[in-house]
Amino acid sequence: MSIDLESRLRDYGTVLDSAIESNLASDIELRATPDDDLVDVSGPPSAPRRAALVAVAAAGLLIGGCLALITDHHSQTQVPAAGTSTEASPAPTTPSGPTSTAVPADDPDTWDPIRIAAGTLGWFEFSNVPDPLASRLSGQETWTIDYTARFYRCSTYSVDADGPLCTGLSGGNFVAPVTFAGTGELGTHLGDISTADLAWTLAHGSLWSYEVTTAPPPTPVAVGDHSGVMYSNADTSYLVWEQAPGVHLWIRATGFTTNDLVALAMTVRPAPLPDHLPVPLVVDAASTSGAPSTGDLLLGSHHGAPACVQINIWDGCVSVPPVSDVALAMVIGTDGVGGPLTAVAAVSPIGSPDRLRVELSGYGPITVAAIVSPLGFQYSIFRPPPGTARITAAHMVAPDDSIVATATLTTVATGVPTPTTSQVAPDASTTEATVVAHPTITLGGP
Amino acid sequence: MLETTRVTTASFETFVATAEPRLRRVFVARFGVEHGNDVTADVVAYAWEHWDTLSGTANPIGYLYRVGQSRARRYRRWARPLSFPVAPSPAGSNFEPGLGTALGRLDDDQRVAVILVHSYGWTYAETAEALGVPISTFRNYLHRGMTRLRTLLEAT
Repeated sequence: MSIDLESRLRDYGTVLDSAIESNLASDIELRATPDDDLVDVSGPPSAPRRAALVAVAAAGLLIGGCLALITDHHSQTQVPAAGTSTEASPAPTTPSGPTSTAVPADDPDTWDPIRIAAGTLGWFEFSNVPDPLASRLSGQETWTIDYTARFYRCSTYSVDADGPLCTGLSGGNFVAPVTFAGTGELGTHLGDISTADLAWTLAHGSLWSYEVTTAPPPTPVAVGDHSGVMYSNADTSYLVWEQAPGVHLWIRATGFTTNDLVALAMTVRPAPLPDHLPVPLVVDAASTSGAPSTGDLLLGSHHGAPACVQINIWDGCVSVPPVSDVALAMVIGTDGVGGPLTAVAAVSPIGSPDRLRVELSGYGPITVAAIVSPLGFQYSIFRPPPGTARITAAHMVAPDDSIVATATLTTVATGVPTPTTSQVAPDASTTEATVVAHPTITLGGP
Repeated sequence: MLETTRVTTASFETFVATAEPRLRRVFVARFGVEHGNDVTADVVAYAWEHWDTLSGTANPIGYLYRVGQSRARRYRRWARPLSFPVAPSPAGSNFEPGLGTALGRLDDDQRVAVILVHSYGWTYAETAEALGVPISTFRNYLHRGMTRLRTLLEAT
């Protein structure tokens, strides 16, 4: 039998679209039975469809809590520049008994909440907007913590008996916590950036699927005692000003004059933050600007899982070694999903003599010093300067140069890569003396 | 007031209006109607949450396709069925009864290639970009998928 397969597939597109619309409209469970118009080709009948995906995510955020930590500190990486510190390569040792320390995290961007100190600056809101401006902001002001909190990180923190207390957030990343149905938005950006750069990033359109190619000159605008700039793109204007050092605010509005925007800006007040936010702690920042970077080493927990470290949102999460466990956590950072390697880090118990050794193309191996984190572990992280070298291997090596663990430098092709660590079980007689007990990082609900 | 309400922005809606229908067809081709719709919703939420990252991505559809594959693990854990229509829509006059079942039996990448190109008229370049694979790889998917699909249908 010969069939016109292409023609039938073409018609099948219409059938498929109809099924899609039907499924969306009904939002009911579609089961595969001989009488159904859908066929089950791979398994049993489905579970009921989730009604609100974001609500599910929000529920996940409510689990969890705080970390038992030690002191207020935000350490900076001390790593040698590529090629500046070389030594002989260790005799190759084949790891045996590979194990994975990866924490299953199908929502690696969803963090458990940690405590936020009263008065911490996060985002801002309009307060008592006078008429007629208020009436021109059509629609209801909307805001959600579920989305917003995930664009922020905790960059400074202290510790008390209840665990870490976040005292400083960074982030914002062009997301507007406050919106008025498209007529206006108010955003906060925490971290060093020039007012003009932020305004231009917002205004030039690449964030929103269109782009202008010629930068219009920014218009200097005073917002009270603060200096700001304004860009206009068609009938939409962006007013950006620095409210305080490292705290930039921006308003996007359509059909408002400069004076209107300044009047709106004068009504902006800090929004009281909730006492817990689902943000990760920045263990080691990739840049000194205070702004989040994809190279930051982060600590957090997911869905009640043990605390873990990761570098990028797409690079998975690796559990932090617990007390008396000499296991090592090695994590990698990549430039996008499946992209080139940009960083490698290793976490070990405080006092461990093991060191991170990174091999670079065109250079000798580099041994990276360990930094003791106030979070109860020590870590090493290496980020090759962009364009200078490529990481080809990363190991944790013992003082005798034997390889203790090897990072897997490949990423899973589909979805979120899962870093793994191949480990060599250390000799107990030597490791017992080197492991210094540190607090177990535990979770607790808010 | 810090009330949990749904945030919408005109700019994000613009992005969604452009990308969401394409993503939905990709994910439905990959995961079936029900899973595909759910994964699409997941991915749109993800896109909103990671707008800063996506803005710097040269191939947001391909990026989100990979995100969707990761998110779909939860559905596979729940052993939810891969569903494709097997009965014609009211307007269907050239319907092949075994087509839905046969499509479900193709390898995932082959099925996506076949549906996007032949059912939805995507170009080879568009589809390869969405899948994040070279065109040569995509051609293999398509060729093998069509060959196997023809074999499956002719056997019934």
